[in-house]
Amino acid sequence: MDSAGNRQAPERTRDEIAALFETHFDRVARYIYLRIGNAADAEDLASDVFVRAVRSADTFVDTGAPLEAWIFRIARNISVDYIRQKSRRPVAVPIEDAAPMPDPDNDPEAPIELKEDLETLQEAIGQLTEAQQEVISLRFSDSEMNSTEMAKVLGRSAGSIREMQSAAIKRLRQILEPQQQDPQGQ
Amino acid sequence: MTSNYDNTLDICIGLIMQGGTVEDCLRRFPEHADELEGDLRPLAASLAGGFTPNTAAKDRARLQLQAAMAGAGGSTIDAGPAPSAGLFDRVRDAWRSWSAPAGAPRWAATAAVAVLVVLVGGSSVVAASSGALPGDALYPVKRTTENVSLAFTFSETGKAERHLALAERRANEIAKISASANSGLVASTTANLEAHVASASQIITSIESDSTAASLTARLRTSSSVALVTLQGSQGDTQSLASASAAYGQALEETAARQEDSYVAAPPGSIRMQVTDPPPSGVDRLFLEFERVEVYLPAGEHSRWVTVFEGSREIDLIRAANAPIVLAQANVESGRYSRIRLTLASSRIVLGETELPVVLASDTIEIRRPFAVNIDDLTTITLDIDSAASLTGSGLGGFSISPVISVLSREPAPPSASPTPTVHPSVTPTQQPTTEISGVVDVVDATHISINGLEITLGPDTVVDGEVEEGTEVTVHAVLGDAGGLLADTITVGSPPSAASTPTATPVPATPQPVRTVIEGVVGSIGADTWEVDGRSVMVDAQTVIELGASLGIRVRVEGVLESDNSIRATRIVPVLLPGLIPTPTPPTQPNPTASPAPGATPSPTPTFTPTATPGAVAVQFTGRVNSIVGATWTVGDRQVLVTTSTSIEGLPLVGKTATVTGILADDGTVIANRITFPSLFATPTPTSTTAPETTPSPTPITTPTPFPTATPTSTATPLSSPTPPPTATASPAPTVIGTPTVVTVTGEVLHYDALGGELIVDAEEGPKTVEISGTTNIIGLVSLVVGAHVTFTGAPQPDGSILASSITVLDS
Repeated sequence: MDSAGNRQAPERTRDEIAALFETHFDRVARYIYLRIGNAADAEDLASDVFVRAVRSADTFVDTGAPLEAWIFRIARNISVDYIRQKSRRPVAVPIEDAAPMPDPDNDPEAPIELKEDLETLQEAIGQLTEAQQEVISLRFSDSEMNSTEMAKVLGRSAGSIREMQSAAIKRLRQILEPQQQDPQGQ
Repeated sequence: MTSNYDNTLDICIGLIMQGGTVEDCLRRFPEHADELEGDLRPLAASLAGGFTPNTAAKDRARLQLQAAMAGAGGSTIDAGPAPSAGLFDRVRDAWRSWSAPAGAPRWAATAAVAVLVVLVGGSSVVAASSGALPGDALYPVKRTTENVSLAFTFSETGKAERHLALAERRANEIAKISASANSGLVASTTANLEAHVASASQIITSIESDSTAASLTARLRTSSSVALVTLQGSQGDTQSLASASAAYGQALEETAARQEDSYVAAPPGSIRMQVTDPPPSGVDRLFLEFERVEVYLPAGEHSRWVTVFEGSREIDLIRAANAPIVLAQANVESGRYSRIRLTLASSRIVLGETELPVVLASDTIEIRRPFAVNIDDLTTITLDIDSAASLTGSGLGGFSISPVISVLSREPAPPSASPTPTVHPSVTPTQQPTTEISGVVDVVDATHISINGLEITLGPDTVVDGEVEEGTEVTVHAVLGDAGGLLADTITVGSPPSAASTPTATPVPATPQPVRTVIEGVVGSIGADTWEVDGRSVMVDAQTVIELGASLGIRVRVEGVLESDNSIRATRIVPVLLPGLIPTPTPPTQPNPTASPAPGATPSPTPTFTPTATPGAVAVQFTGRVNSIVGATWTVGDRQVLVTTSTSIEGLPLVGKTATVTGILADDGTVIANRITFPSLFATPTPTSTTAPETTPSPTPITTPTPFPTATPTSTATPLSSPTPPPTATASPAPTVIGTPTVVTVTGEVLHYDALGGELIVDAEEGPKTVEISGTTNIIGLVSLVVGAHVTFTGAPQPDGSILASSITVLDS
């Protein structure tokens, strides 16, 4: 087997990235949103992911893993950079950008409770370990993303992904259950 | 090590993400019910909903990506805006980055301006102009926006598709203004349509990739259908229709000329590899880990290995003794395959409590076994691994395995019954047609083989399976050589299963029998006595029966006799249409428009065609469950749906949800979607009306201008996430829509699994259900489909009480 992989023509990689944009932009944005918790910034960062991928196309090495895995790795790195930047230098966010939910035009019938659930979930995800956050954010970003796909993205075995996922869910349960029993925090 | 619960939880998350409920999981895994409920309940609402990016944000991101695509060619562009950057910052950054490179091409400046226009909100004017018609004040803005859009499209494929979309847009505009606008406006709009078609044609004929060219040619045919039907449907002048028809005709000729010299991938069929084994005694477990499964497609200089599976898949051969275990299933190009190659990664054996490694004698196994994969059909290959003969050694000296494999294949029936016993056409429409010949060998030498008087050339790529000598009964798959003769692709000793009950040809006739053949392809041109079907000349005469609907741009099946110059003298030409999408009623047989009526020609009972305006685009609308989303290809119900950049997607697209698709039926059966709508995730699911046609079906003769006919939808699905009806283990009929079959979702334990027969019996709550598996059935799950497994499947009830499954999810085993 050729574990080292082959360098692919950058033009071809760019074309594939452009094609992936249409099908994967929402998934990447969802993944980033679950990592950083700000919808507007998640949309901007998702755009950055594809731009960065195009500019780095000549560094892409075809190891047999799908290009999507590479895209999600870029998304992970951009999210981590963003979180680090945020933690070092708090940024004043305009009030209209602060709401973590997307444009209501997209889901006008979304009940308030669900939005609150999502916000609560995102906050809870923020309390997980870095590795657990990656697993949960990836898994919840896309209905097609199963443990095998996540293993490709994160470079781990599917078994270890399932273990981490299980541990992360347990931790989320610990965080969320008290809040649900006492929603006012009293 | 991953615990059983980790796996269970993983399966449950997958189910919920795809539309299932917590209750589904609790019922499937009662042993973990308490733990699962505690873990999943707090997350269920969030998992079912989720965050969807703003469409405006995606549009903005697309522009930034396109700018980056341009910049990657030489310009230097800074990274996109920083998180939470304000609008002013974004504009400033974008402008700086665009104005920086001194040698940037001229179009780059145009692109930069367009980016800025969109960023600062100029898009409102652009949006307002989108509905403008020739003569309107905003129409120039619309055309300018189109030109900018073309400038932003950097791939040749994208440009060609864009040109075709714009040509269709022009046709729409002409249809709207032709009754009232002045002739000058109509003429200039028509000229623009012709220019777009010519530009698309130029790209298609010069594009490097053959497969891309084939795909674009198919798009060109569809565009031709859409535009011409639109123009025919209008009451405008006939000059526009004639000009557009000529432009598309020339483009189709140009692209057809290119295809004559190039290889074009055939439409896909499905292949399933499964493993079975009579186990050796005394062995508790014998594992074989597969790394890759490939099949060989002999196609002259385009011969190649096609990967069916790549990854890691470990199979316990002892379990495979009870029922075949599916190793892999994939869509592959249809055609005749000649070999199977398995790459093994490892093997291990379990004897009592002891597990021992098994040495692989070879990590690659190649099996010569010709088989066919037909379009939209499933070929099942069963690898019968005789582990008793394969395994050598003992626990003391170590084990080694050299798999002894025999292959059983279950191929679908050939596309049509052949009236002549010895020749079975096996057609791959866009590839060179293959003909199957069975009979007794008269003469064989190094370069030729003669069967029942028919001489066939042996080439360097000919695969011979078994010892062939005079008197041997063989089956030959041959392609048509350039000189008019037959060139053998594969030769297999013995007659094919499909021919077993059919008498073969009279042994050694004095003169060769006429070779009857059938091909499928798209009609490229229609002449008085010669048609062109996928580049092949097809001669028609008064005896030729031409079914209604066989016309330019339509995929047809041609039955006839093969002539020495490779042309086909047609006895019958039938439009190939898929059942389910095509509305009734059945029209009578259409007489051959270019020849005198065939005496004695009787109408064919071909049941499902509805005439359309020439050249035959069919607008369809149907509702079904989204079974998969793979790139731009979706499976909705049992139908492949192509999502293009022009497709409008309303709602959150998720696998497992019900979607209503409106689009054009392409000649390969795919629906090219114009619009896909999903019901709101948060509203109570209600059945979508699937009977709203764009216009009333009008089964008028094909030469009469007619608006789009519409199709009866194939199915409507029960949303799995419906909060009201409990998704229990019983069959739950979907809301009934008049004239459409219902779809049911059933859960239960597999009592019987006949992999070869494609049949399951599932112990549902209301009693055993027989489930049929077709080539398009989507089987999902982390574990194998075996007897004892719990499955949830969705499908359409059949008249015999069985259910034809569109998807099966294996929950556990």
